[in-house]
Amino acid sequence: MKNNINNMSGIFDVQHYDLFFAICNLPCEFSLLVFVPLLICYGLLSLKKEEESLVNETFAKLCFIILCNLCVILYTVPRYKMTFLGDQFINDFFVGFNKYFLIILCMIFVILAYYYLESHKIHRFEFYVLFLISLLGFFFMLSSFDFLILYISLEVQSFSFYLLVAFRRNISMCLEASLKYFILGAISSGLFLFGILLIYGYTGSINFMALHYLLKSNDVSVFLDASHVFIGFIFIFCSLCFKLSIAPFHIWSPDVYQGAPLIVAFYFAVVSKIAVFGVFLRLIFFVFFDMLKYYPLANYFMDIFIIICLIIGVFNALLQSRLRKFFAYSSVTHMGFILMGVSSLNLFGLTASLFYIYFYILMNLVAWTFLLVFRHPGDGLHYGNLAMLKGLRQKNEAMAFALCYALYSMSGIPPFAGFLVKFLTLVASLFSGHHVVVFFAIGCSLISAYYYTRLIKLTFFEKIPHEKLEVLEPNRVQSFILQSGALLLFLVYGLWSPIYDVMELLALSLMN
Amino acid sequence: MDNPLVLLIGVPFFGVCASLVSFKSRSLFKYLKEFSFVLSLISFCISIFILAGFNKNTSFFQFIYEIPWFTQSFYIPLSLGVDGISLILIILTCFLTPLCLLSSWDQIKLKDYPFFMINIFLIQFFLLLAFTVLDVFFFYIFFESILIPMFFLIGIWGSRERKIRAAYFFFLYTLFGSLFLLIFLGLILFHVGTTDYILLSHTLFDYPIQKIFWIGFFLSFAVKVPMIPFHIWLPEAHVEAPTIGSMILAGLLLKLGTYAFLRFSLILFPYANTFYTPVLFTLCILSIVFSSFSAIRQSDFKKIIAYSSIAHMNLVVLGIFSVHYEGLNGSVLQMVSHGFVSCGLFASIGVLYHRYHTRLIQYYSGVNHFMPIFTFFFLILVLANISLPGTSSFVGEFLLFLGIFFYSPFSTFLASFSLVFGGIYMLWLLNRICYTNVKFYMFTLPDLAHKEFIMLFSFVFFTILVGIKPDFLIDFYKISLISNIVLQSFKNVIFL
Repeated sequence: MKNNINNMSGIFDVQHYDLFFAICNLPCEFSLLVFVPLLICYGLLSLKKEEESLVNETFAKLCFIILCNLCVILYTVPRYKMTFLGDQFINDFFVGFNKYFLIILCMIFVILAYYYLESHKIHRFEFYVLFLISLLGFFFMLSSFDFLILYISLEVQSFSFYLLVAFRRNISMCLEASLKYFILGAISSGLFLFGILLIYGYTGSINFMALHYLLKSNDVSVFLDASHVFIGFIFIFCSLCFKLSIAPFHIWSPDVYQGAPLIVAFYFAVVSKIAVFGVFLRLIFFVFFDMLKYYPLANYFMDIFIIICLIIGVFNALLQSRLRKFFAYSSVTHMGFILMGVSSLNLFGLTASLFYIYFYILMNLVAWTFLLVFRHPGDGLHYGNLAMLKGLRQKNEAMAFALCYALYSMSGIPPFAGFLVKFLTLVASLFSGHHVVVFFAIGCSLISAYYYTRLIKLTFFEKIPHEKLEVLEPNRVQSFILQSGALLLFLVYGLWSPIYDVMELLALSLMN
Repeated sequence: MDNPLVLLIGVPFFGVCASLVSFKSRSLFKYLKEFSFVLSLISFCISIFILAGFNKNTSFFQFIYEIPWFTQSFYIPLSLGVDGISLILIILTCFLTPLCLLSSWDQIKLKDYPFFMINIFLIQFFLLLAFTVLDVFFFYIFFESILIPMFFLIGIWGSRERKIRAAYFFFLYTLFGSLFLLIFLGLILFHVGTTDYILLSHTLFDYPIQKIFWIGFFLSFAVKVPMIPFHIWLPEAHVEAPTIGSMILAGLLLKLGTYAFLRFSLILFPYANTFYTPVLFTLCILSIVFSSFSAIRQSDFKKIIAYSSIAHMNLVVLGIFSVHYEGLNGSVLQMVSHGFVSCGLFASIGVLYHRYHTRLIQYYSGVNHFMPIFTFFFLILVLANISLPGTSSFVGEFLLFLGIFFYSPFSTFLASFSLVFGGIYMLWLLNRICYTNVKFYMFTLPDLAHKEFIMLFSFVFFTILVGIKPDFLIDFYKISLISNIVLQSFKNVIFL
């Protein structure tokens, strides 16, 4: 087949710059490239002043329809591994699965965004347009196979994120969060570029395939000359750690999660991680894999990140009194666990990490949907103090249970899903000999159990007097999303073998 | 559905689902109490059915039900099966649940029924699974899962402001120990590739590995037993828990620790057992002496029973690690008997607490004069706690002392402090509450109600029944104990 991955001549052969072929095989990206300008035109030109209150509903429905279209379109893509446009894009099982997962999460996001914007009476269509642009960035990131495309798509996604955070421009906290995110994000982009620079300067190529073959060697002496590549990799790694909020590059996340509009913080926490993980895992397990396995220092550098993640995440979450910052720091701890699976640098570790990533996103979905649904009088901007959880069991038991599932799952207590995935990553770490990290993980699990049960205590044990009891009845659709997400956390027991098989297939398609 | 074990475990799960369904409308709440009681009686009947179909003459696991859960990288099956020891503990669980529900009949508010029933059924469900599952990984999951419903039980329906502190202690102490077990579970997967109990019981670990693994297992189970220095959660949890919480905690959850020692530590690490036995004996004897002394000076009657539970359970662990037939026999029998006796004691002082709402012993006096039936049952249970001959705990303790004596007569001398001091604190408790003159401020509240009578009678009846003819129970687990000892000594011999 012309574009077979094993054919290295793709880099130099002009025949492979077949745009039509690329459009057929990356339909989501190119259809979004068509839909987004159309939506912008529609929003600017055709909506009249009197219909301003219908803007939200119209655009939410349009977005949802576009996402359903993308689902159908994605189904037409062939299943085997192929590169396009001169090995600049790739399509394989890992990419396809992640795109589907992303689209489903975005559908949930659009529904929740509609309710959020409706209740806050925000009637601007730019929100949905920015969301679609960031989705475009995610799709290109996932199927990128070349540092240039990766950088461009990262920037597209980041710019739309900067604007989304600043969306409620009348609130100073949103603007402050956006500015912080923009400045720190720009620095991380600079780090990324510098990493690419070093790698290109030393190897002469920015293509993942070329780098994979160049760095493929079992001989350590090859890599001792490759220290430039390793340092370049470190810069890229640090830049991606910024996006994933891995300590010590996590400093933006509590402030941005707290300051951004709640729906945007939801988008950050739940949806944005998958694409960045796709890129992250591809870089570690495909491009730089052999270098990381055999370079002398490389085996343990990730352990430093893991230990810092765990300690910073745990001790900061202990001291938080704001719900959103609390979840931001708990994300940092979870990133530590995911890195434990990654640092083992074998197939089982990658499978365990993938497992953890998907269930972590599900847990976060439940937790942040709860935050979206949770209304407290006097907290119009959703700043969310811990003390507002008091008496939740009296107001609405179903919501209290959903929060309970999410929190116990996050703290990794059996019988919830979070325990199983944490166990897998611990075992992966033990298998590859990182015993110190495992002991840190256990210690931090214990401390984290305390602060998660503190939230449960506030929800279930504290009573408020009957006079001060307010009604809390969320929307039916929102309740459905909350409860089904919570119950899915138990599905892992019945479907363990099939899910594990899928994860293993994902890992295999990533590594080969 | 040809496996009665699966049916038995499905019953509390069905109870949980029914309680969740009843959340839909308030009018369903009032049927929930009777419905749950009937369900717990059904589970008891099914467990008797399993008892009837059990083959006493073999030590293999029976009624096995296996689901190959994880077969890709390791082999972790979800397999359920009973042997003699599990069977006895399952009968105990199914026997105690209806009695616990009886004790809490009028204590819970209507709007709290569904959540309360969910917690009780979840505890029963996880306990049944923990006693029957034949896989270390799943045992760990169910061992830990019980913490969550108990946490809610103590924290929501507990009696005082200190209940939250007690709930945290209970949860975090057990979690601390269990997290070490988690690491060693991972290491077992690394060394052996499976956590299936039957396969593991036939593997031989190297001596250094055995020693390290034993410590991990020990930490986790020692917190549950509880042993000094991990015992602090027990008096707190017992005092702050509602009556039903104390009954479940003392009657069943403490048995999990000793059951786990018997099942896992004893069989998997025989060399490490002999290596660590002196340390273990020291800790157990310290626990016995310390808790017996502490019990004498308590002013809260729940704390007295809590400390006596610590003493009895540590005696059981001594018997287990003596690795003699009498010691093991006594340990299982004492587990069951302590389940009856301490559950019954908590039930009877629950009866008092529900009338007077105080736990201070100085408040009570001369209860015998106006509650003679209560005093009758309380007397028998107190004498059972002291291990008076004729009660089941006498048989248990006698066998235990016999077993420990074979290992070390001096330890037996020290361990028998539990007998002597047991007499002191229990008789003094009985005297102060029941047998002096009635003080002027005491309200003479009614004697036992119908449900309380049935509950206490059941406890007393089985205590005396097993005390007079312990063969009823011993026959079931005799063979499996012998085979366990043979297996362990065989593994020891193989290495030499």
